[in-house]
Amino acid sequence: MNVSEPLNNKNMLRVKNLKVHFPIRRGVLQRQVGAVRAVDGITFDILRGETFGLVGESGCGKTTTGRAILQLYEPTAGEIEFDGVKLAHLDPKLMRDMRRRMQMIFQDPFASLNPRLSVGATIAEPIRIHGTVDKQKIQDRVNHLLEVVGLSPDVASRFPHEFSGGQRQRVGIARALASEPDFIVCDEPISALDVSIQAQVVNLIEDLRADIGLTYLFIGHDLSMIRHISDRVAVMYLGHIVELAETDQLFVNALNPYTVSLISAIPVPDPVIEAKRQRIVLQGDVPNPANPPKGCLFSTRCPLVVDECRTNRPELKEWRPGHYAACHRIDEMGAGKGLPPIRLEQNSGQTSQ
Amino acid sequence: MNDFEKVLQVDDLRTEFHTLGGVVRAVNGVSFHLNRGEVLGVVGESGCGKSVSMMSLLQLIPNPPGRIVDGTALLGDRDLLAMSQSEIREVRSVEVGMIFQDPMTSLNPVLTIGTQIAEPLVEHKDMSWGEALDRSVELLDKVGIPDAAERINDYPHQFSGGMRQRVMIAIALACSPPILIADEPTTALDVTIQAQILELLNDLRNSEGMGMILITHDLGVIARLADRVAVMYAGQIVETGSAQDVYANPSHPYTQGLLESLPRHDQEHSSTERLTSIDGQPPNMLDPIDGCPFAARCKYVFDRCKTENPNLIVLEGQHSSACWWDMKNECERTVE
Repeated sequence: MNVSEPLNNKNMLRVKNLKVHFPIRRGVLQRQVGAVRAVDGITFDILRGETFGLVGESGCGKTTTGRAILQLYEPTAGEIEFDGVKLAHLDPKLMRDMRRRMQMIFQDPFASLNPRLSVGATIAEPIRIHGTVDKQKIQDRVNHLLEVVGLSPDVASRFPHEFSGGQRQRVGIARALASEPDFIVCDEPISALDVSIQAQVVNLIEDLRADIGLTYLFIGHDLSMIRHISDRVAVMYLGHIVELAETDQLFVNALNPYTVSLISAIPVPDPVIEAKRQRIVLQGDVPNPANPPKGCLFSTRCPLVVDECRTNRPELKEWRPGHYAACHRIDEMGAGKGLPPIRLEQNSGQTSQ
Repeated sequence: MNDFEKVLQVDDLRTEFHTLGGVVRAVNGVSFHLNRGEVLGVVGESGCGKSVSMMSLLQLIPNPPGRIVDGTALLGDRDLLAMSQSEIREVRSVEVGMIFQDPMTSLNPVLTIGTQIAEPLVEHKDMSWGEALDRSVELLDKVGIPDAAERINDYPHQFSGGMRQRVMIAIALACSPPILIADEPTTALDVTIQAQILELLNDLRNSEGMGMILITHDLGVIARLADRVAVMYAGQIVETGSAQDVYANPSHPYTQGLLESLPRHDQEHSSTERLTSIDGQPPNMLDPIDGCPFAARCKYVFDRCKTENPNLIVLEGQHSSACWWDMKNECERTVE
């Protein structure tokens, strides 16, 4: 399809210094008294054909990032460039075509489908709106899409409540594919599904990437699944990217203490390994994004914290080719020189066997 | 294995729900036991009956539509299922503590947390409110809430999710019960907070010698804490054994499929590698099932599975599996 587009362009998406702040209003006059800095200046590229994982705890701004990229939230500042076109204040007609090319798979397959529309009508809607195929061929296209996601075309006349969670998520995927997109934001597409169904849906998402040549932003909190599906991963904390690297680099040689803690916090499904594994149990909660810490955002929980961390916020810097991290302590730990990853257990953080 | 003291013995528990669509056999002949100071992990997908089993023990199933139709649950020599309302009420706070998945909705929003922790102590331990509140401070301290003495006057909305779960644990611990039932205690929490709560539960098991039934869908959480595992599917226990045995040598096709379908964050993946998935979906519990409930999704299925539902067959020591197929010897299992 889209022959007119520049094919030599390596970047599908560029996000530059993106900020999304939600105002906090109080009083009768609803005056703004502050802002929740949901996303506070993040920069990254997504390459054509890759799966870019975005991971973090709830409230870190990962979903807001995904929605701001699709222009579902208006960014407070920063630039989003999709396939060489800047999306801010784009002519509505052009924006419409951009929207066709950028789609989303939502987290909750129970809330994201209209209960009053049959599955066929749900999938046909974007085809009709964007006019991607002739009117007479819409039904064929719907049937084809249902088959692509592993459902029988017979189900087109049924309604969402007749489907299980995994099947609904397949319908959600078919709907996203209907407008023939190049780029899909997958916002925790499997976290509402049962374990035995998760693998089915992830396999489908991966197969589609290969078959149709899609690019994904895959948002998740399940680091194991992120490791499985992503080519590169960015870790977010309180609206900032604190580390970004190729997947195996990130999991084997994490540089930021938050990433190290996050990986160590996830139990491995093997009791023998679990009994031996060194764990870092972070103290306290994620700070309030309306009132973030002054220095490094992680300084309130970091086991390696020093005075500098409490006053200066570290920049995201490239420590190895393609491996970015924001932390003041990386040099001291020698990790920047290619030495083994930080050993937090030698420090003040509470660890346990 | 008689070294352990059994604190709970459940036999052939059956719970049904009578709905407009028919009878749902949510728990269909479940038997298990719990030893003192041990963590039993109950794992399964939503709707497999893991929560309903444990709630049945404490008579927490709303009737109607729910009904416990058969079974015994012996706590010492008393049957929980035969108890009167006032007896079971006493058991719920003094002998079996329970914590739930959602710390946001399980606390009373209009009472201070001090009141909520102190209440069972006043009610069941004949303490005065003053004594009970002092004890509440100790309990909050024990579950790791900073400035406990001041925070007992706060309301639930003033706590974060992880802190609320700590408060729930403090309430469950108030009367030092010998058994704690934790129903998905970390599912609603972030991973770094989950790690804190699991750490706390592990410490409590070691310091208080509490027996714990940990219900979860997360095989990682089970691997972290459980000594023994019971895998549930469609209202039945399909495999049980020590955590080591079940993970190292899964002997039911469902357990095997679950473990194979999990990606691992501690292992490298090639970008083309697919996850091994279990095809199909769990059965609709309204439909009567002849034979093994997993037969429709099982890759080892043969004729017998479609007509006869296997009971747990002992493989070795504590390890049993409800499957007609012997995966090790690749033949039909013979029962002596």
